[in-house]
This record gives sequence, structure tokens and C-alpha cells, in this order.
Amino acid sequence: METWSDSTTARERVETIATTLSRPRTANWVADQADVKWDTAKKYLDELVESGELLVTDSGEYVPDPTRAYFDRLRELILTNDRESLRGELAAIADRIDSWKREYDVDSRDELEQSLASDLGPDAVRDRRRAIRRWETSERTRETIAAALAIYDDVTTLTDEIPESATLETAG
Amino acid sequence: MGPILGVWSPSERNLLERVHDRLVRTAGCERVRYVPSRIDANEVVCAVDPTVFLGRSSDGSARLRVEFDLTGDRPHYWIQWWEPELEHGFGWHCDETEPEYGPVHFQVEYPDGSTERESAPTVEDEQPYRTFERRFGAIESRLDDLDW
Repeated sequence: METWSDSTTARERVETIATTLSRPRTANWVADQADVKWDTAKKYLDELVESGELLVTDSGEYVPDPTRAYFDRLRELILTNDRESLRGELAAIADRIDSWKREYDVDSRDELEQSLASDLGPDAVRDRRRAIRRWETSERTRETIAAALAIYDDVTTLTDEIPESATLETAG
Repeated sequence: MGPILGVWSPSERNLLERVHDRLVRTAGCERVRYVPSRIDANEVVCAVDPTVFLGRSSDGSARLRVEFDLTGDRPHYWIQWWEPELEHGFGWHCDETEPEYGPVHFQVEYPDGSTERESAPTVEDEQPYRTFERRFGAIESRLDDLDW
């Protein structure tokens, strides 16, 4: 199997590291993680700032712009799914949450979190932590889908006058 | 390492998308998909043809699962290889469930249901995608080392 460095360009590696950061990092740190020289990392990081993917903090560290990522996500949801698919996903999420409630005999995610304080074995704790994490993701997804559906018509209207466009359909 | 600069952190989703794309581009990794769904993804799963993936003959098939959790004080991850016909597998688990083995443990599961764990080498302050690449690249050597 090809290694990461063999199978990707320096630019791809910098972009991969920089767009998956969960807190601000220096160009030096990104260069180390992406296996590129400092000036190479700096050049591509500044390009990502220029294109709006990243923000720079006052101390000169880089971090993904969460607002840009959020609106990109809404755009992708709207342009790559019809309304029925999004509503279907909401129904699937509701089913998933119902099944966690039944499986763990709780009424809410908070109640499942509180159950971690009880006398459980390590396997049960691991299992419940995983369910809590998935539950949390599903709740966040549900909110994002609801936001996408609320602006769905407005956004799709914007593209109505434009002939078929691969760029729009793949949603960046 | 909680949410920063806003209410919504895109990192976990972006990580899964990068892993998904990496697996799609890797020979031998087939039917790469998000679980439970593309929109509500928590992990990336693929079927592996070991003969193609390893570049040498191999019995049976395998599955690879990759999951991240960035919500706590430090990143957690689970990278697991499983061979269903032979009912054995292994994985790197970075969580707090086996503290006696340190921050990351390597876990081997045998057909008789038994499990062996050992401390896995870790790199302090490593980016999760970088960790994924390192573990992904180590699968072949771990397979060579294992005496199932």
C-alpha cells in the first residue's frame, strides 16, 4: 500500500491536516504533521485563509472557519439531496433515538449520561459512551437538516435559472 | 478540546470525509460507506480484499472500521480490522476504558472469544488524521506479527 506521502501532494496533506483541526495550530505544527517544509505549509495555509476555509487567530495560528464549514454543510445537504431524502433521514434519526431509549430504558440522552455514574462494568460504560456520542451526533445532524429544510426553497430557487451545473450538483 | 469560535465544530465530519476519500482511493478497499448514514455519519466502514490490499495471497475477507471522537479533552479514536470468516480481528483503541494500558491500547480478538490487550505506542499531540494514516499503514505489519 502506498504511504500517505507517496499517494498525496504536499498541498493535499496540508489541506487535510488544516481542515480537520479542532483547535488553532501554528504553521510549524501543521508542517510537521503534514510532512512538508514550513514555507510550503505556510504558503498553502495562507491560500486556505484567502479562500475562506481557515481563520487566523491573533497569535498567528490557523483553524477551520466553523461558520464557513456550517454553511458549506447546509449547501451540500440542499444541493445533493431532495426534500424527501432529508425528511427520510429525520425519520431514521428519530428511529435511532427511539431504539436507544428502549435499549437503555431512558427518556433522554441526559438520563443515559447520568447512568454512567451507576455501578457499571467497563464494557457497559464503553457501550453507553458510544451510544451517547452517536446520539449527540444524531441530534446535531437533526438540527442541521432542519436548518437546511427551512431555507431549501430559497436556495434551490437561486439555482433555477442556471443550466445544469456539475459544480452545483456536487456541492463543492 | 471542545467547540471553539462558535457552536459547531466541523472537524469530526471533515475527518470522516478525509478517511472516506482515502479508503476509496486505496486498492483493495471496497464498498466504502458511512455508518449509520452518509448524512448522519459516525464512522467509516469498508470491506477489504486482503489479497489486493496487502499485495499477496490471503484467506478470506476483512472489514475496516474507523471512528473518531473529538468532544473530550483529547482526541479519541477506534481503528479496527476484522476478518469475519476467521472470526478474529484487532484494533487500536484510544479511550479511557483500559487505563492500565495507557492512552492507546492494541486489542486482539480471537475466535474463542478471548481478547488480548497491550499498550500501543503513541505520539503526543498528534493530529487525528495523521494518526489514522500511521495506524492504517501499520495494518500489514501487525498482520505479519500476529499468530492467530
